[in-house]
Amino acid sequence: GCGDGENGNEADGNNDANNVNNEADNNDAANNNDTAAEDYQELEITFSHNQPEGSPEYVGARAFEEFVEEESGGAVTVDMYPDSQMGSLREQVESTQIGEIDITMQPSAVVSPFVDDVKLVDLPYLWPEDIDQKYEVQDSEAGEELLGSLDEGGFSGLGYWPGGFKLFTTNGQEIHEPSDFEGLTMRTMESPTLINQYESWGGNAEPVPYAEVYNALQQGVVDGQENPLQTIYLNDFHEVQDYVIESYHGTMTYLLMANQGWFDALDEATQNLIREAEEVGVEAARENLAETEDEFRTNIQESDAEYYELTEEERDAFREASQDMHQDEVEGSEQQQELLDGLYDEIESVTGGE
Amino acid sequence: MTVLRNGVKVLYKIEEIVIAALIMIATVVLFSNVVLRYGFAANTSWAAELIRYLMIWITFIGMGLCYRRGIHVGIDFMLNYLPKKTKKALQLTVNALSVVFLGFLGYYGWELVQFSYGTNQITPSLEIGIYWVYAIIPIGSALSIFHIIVLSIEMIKSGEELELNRMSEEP
Amino acid sequence: MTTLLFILIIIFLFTSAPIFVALGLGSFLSVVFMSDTDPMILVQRMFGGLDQFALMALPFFIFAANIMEGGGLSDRILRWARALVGHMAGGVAMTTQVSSMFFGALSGSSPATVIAIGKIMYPELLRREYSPSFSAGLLASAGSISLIIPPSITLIVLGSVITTLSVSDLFTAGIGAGLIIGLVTIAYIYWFSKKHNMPRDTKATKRELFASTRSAFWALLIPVIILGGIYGGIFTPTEAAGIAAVYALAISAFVYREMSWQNFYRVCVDSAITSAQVLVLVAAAQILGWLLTRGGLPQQIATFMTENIESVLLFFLVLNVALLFMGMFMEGIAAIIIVAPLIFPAAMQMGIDPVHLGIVMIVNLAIGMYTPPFGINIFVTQTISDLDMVEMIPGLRKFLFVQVIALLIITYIPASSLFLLYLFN
Ligand code: NA
Ligand code: NA
Repeated sequence: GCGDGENGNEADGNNDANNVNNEADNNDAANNNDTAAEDYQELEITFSHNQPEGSPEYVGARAFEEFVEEESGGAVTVDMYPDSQMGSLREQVESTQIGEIDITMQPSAVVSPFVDDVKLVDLPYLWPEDIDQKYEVQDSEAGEELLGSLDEGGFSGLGYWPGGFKLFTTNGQEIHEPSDFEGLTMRTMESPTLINQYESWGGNAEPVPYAEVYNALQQGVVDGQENPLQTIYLNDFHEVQDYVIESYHGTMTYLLMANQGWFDALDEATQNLIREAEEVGVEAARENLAETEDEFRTNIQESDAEYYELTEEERDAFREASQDMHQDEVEGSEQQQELLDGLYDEIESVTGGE
Repeated sequence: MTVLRNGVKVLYKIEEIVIAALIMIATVVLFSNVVLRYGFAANTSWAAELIRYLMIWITFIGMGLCYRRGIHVGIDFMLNYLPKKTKKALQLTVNALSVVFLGFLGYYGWELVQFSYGTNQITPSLEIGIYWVYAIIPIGSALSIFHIIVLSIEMIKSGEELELNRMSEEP
Repeated sequence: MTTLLFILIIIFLFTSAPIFVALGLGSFLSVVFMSDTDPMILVQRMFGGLDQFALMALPFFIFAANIMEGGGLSDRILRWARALVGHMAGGVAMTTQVSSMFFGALSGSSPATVIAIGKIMYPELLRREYSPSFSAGLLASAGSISLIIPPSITLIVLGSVITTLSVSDLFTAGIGAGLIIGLVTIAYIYWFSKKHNMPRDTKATKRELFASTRSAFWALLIPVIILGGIYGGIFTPTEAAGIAAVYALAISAFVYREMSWQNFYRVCVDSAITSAQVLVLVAAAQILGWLLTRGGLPQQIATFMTENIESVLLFFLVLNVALLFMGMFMEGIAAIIIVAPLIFPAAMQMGIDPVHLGIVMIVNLAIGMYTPPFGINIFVTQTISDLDMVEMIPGLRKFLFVQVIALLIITYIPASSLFLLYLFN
């Protein structure tokens, strides 16, 4: 049953973490012969994120940490604060801006009140439905350019980290078309764009802090929410919801970002070390996500919640209904229009204009 | 002195009116939102955010009024066993500590206001600059410092100790 | 830096500075002079401590309780409780206990309960030949129950300091714990009154019972609205608090007609100020919690405890003794703010149910409200009874003993307070 699945997953999460550890140990042994330590100045990196052990985010962050520490021979260390220990999501972004946190991994949606351009990441039905194609677009020049807009908020964008496609979960109303949201209040992250998304489909939206979502669903303060499979499953949201709808409407995309002043002041070797570690971390997170997602999906399908995947036609109808909103969001900003057009072009070339 | 005293009284009244109004608005917004949800299946997206910010405003304005009423919670049962002179000196010291703390809070609060003004952070639902919310921190600190100074002057002039820091339980 | 921080805070606390100043000034001084941290972050943390919707239940419950007090709701509950149990052995004393519990289910505050119930019941208790010391002890201890029975400001603060704890869950467990304390105390009153053959009231007639029930009906609905609303999945605790305030206002203004505009304005001002009084503490607590997390102290304590305290039994014993001792000198919210961030990580590592731990903490702190030398309920009871503390001690001791028995039950039989939680989930 459900309980078994949960235990299985926790064990998996731990194993993954252990695997990373083991690899690290092996590499450590190899590195001891190097003189790597001399290349780097002593540095302690404060790194914060929101996810618990067993999540792809956690695994990726650990891989980042291990890489940095072993490559630098221990000269550069990571002081890791998972699980929102450094405050709410908004506060972690702000603390990074202030410079108290050096690197944070936060959902693009939560960053958008700080840097408006970043909201493009969360436009509904923007990204390709194939996850590898999505990664390809993000890693492209158009993706890099959007990431570069973080400068304006005083951040250095290091990369897009994966959280998977978001699903709708609702009570009382199965979702097949945009108008099904009429009369529903959906919980969103603290992002104007996500609020607008539901309002443009005819529904209501209310931001509720991550920590309060389960209770808000249980108490009927909101009728539904959107999150990736692992977040739904690990937080038991499916237990207090009637329907889980695989919609491909958007992705949970994290921005790995550093305080700009801090990052720019690092010597080049350390900057490169961090960039390399970012690549290692994002790879580990992507792998772990791919490994665990099917299992989370199966577990949710086996629960009491009704699981439904929108058909091709239904998704097209949603896609159609979301186009106006894309335009509304960039209205009045040439820069954002350009960034969005760049993404459109890149998406078309990656997907072959499907 | 009378001018000062009257000025303080007016300020005090204004602060009271403001926080009374804020708590009433918060209650009305909360209640309406529940009615909207159950009566009309229509939540606002901003009620919860507005209520939090109103209460934060109440907190930082109320902080000064708590000094005025002498109800800030402190561990001061031993005050009662001190001779009158010592007690008064201690209370003035405590006032000075409060002013130093509120000085820090107000100064760095002001820096935070400027910082968030400069970096354009908006609130997610109301979509206003968050510095509007942060602004109450330096304002409240300044008001509190003012109240403490007036109270200290009153204490010195009147020759008796005021119950500036009466131990108080949760309400 | 952590050492300096603690030394400063302790010094400031000893000067009798307000607790939020002691915590805040200690933190600012150590951050400004001993670290590279931007002090702006401390302001942000204070803001963050307050910027939680769940915490907003606190001002709304304070508001609701003040309206009820000003609107004549508490008197009616008292009359009703007396008609209900007044004729039994120890009836008047039981009335005091029962109506304190009911009033506790209306209000989040303990001294308010002592005053509301005590003003009427203290003379009544004396008239039934209970000693002044017994009567004062009963009042002071019975009032502390409103800390445990939801709504409880202390539980809301605990839920906001330890963000992983849900206020709803704490409230649910609080009902169980409050009932246990109530039952143990009532059993003791019954035994005491039988043994000393205390006089009883004549039994209320059916008509009197009916009349008092009708009069109290609207007031008695408040716990139903609050608890039913939360557990029926209709409101969050914060919304329930706001609804309770609006409801109490409507009853006071239109049914009991005891609320004037002038009155209402005063209630608004007082509620806002009292809320600020507690919320500044919560804000300051957040700085401390954050600095401790940065310094890794909770983890060190957790490691120390898991290495040195092997059994959960022993953990709770140490905790109870420490908290009862703290309770002698400190009040509940201050103790939570300082202690909870330190012990919760350790308890989690030991596999203790956080809700159970929270409730055990609260029961300890509720007892602390009337343990000498410092206890706000003692001071409030003094204003009602005109006894000095030494005269109150024999009575306080009796009820301290009784409630410690209840504490032991709640501590060592977790299901005793958590059974409702098991039932709901
Ligand atoms: Na209560
Ligand atoms: Na005490």
